[in-house]
Amino acid sequence: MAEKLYLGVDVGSVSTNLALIDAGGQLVYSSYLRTRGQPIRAIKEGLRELGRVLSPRQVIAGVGSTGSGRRLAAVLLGADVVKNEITAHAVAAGHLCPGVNTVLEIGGQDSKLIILRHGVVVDFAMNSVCAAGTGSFLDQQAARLGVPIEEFGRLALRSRNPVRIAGRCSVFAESDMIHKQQLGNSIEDIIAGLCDALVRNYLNNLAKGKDIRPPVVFQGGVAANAGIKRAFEKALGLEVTVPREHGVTGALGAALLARAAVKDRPTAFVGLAVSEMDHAGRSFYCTDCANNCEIVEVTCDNAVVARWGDRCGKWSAAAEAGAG
Amino acid sequence: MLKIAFPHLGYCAIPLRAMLARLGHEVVVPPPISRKTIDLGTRYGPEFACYPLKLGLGNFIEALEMGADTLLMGGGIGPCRFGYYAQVQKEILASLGYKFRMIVIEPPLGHARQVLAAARELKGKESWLALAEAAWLALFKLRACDDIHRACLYWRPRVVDKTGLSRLYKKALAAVDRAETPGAVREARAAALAAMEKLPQNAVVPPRVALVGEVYLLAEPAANLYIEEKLGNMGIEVVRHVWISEWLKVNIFLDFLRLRRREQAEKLARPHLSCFVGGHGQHSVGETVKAARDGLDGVVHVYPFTCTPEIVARGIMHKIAAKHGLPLACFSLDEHSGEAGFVTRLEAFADIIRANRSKKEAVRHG
Repeated sequence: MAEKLYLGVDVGSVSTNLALIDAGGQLVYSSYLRTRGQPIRAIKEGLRELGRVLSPRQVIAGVGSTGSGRRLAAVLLGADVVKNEITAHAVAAGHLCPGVNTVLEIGGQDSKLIILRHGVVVDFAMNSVCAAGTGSFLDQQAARLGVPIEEFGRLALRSRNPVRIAGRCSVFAESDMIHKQQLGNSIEDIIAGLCDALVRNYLNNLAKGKDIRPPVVFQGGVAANAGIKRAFEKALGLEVTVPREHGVTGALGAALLARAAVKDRPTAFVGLAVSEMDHAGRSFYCTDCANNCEIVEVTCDNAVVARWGDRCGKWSAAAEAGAG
Repeated sequence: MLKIAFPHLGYCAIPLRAMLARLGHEVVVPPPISRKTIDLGTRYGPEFACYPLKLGLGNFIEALEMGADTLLMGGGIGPCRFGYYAQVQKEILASLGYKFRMIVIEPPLGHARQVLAAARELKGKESWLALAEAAWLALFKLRACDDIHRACLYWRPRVVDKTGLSRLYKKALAAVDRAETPGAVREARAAALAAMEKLPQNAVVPPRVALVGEVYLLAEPAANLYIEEKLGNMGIEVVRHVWISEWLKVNIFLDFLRLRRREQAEKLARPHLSCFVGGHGQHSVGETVKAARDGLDGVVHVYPFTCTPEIVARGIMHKIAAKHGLPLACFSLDEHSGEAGFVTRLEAFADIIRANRSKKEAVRHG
């Protein structure tokens, strides 16, 4: 009998992640690709890679999508569930670390704080105005300092005397770092200082008035950075756990949700062959009324498969009629 | 005869147009708030003024371009900054080279003379009785619009065809707009409510959340990123207690008659926030208390970025919500609000509400 697997796809601003779980919820495969502003290509590339490792007796019995590109991914793949990344991360955290009360998540361009009690989300915060503490900024600073991003955390841990960096704004943080370099501070101390500043920024932006209780789980791409993890532990005075699957927790959450969604119905998954079809996306402004909605249109082999963004529903309804 | 324009505030153009047209003026209704309105307002408005100033400014510029020569605007006495927006907008528009007159309606209490002067100007050659009649028709239309909107909030999570409901709603407002007499308004209202009731419905009882906050952000969908429609389409019923007609009652009539202290939301707020902090700050606190008391499933708080009264309220609302285990989502909005992040947070909030609901139901049935 075929082995049933469930796929989660997290299309984020910086990376597109895939997670494949078995019926027991164990992660059997995961991948991490750079989105590079081309989500359709990233999704297909991920699927092609997945197709190469899948054995003939394994079938994908359910698909879930999440992340800022969740809607696009859902159209492309025929997802059984489309879920916002806050809920997806919370589901994954609860699965990886039962009894978790706090989830810290830092991704490519956003950060989240999720408060759970008894396995249920009770409160959350998501950065809405500033990306100073996120992965993109760390990436950029690592490149500027000539340090591979993978080395960043290790160097931070070697610091004896972290310098204080202004962390409220990434532009000011950068000029402050340059200033500290000119003063002759060591690169380890500057990196550790940057980690402290980012954590300070995160807590100021998201954690004000939030009841942070252990166990605390730290996930998202930035959780790979040991320097940030240590800075969190220092600032919170609590132990912070980074799960092994921290890089793909959003996708894992989507896979878990997909598994639940197909319990009583068959999957809508298009199949791995989707990676060979010709998809394109475009957007335009509808000028039929003063709303001037921005309509997004996705085509597959030159046929419109989905549209969204119209408040009156006329474009999306026409696409549904055409596709159905 | 004036060529008169006013800023948008949800469907308020309907009653305002009725009143001013009745008095023989040529009414210039600015185009609905669009990207262009926002761009104009933010380009010429001060960066740290709140969203209502910028959107109103954009409306005015578009109206002046259409040939308006008189602008009608509300006043106020603070602490909310709205009170001086008319003056600021006037200065900005004059500096852009526009020629116009501005009529500012101040709160009647303590400004009786200004209000009378403004009324005389709006009245023109018509009699005082004609002004009263025009105002009566406007009030009638406003209440009908409020009722239709309230019904739409109730039915949206329940009906199967959400876009059909939107179409009905739009048609209903247009019918109220066309109506010439209070009787015709009453008919249009009744027809709309009956038509909404007849739409096919889902069998589920939707969770209910209170939508509270600053009145402009509550009443202008283009400013609140269509939050009511979004929540309703997610299957959540939005309960609102701040309505423009209510607001007029409290801020114009009760205030004038010095009966304001009897207002319920303010009474409920008083143990937590004893004084008026401007705008709807005290109201938002009171309604959070009311939402907890009425057993609602959550509270959504919307206000313009930099709104002091609502920021004061927010800290207190968090404590009240936490005490009652009531989910609370706060959205501070302006031209920089990204729709993607907004929708993500709204969806996550809806997930919390639904999870709580099924937990409650499990307890009830278990």
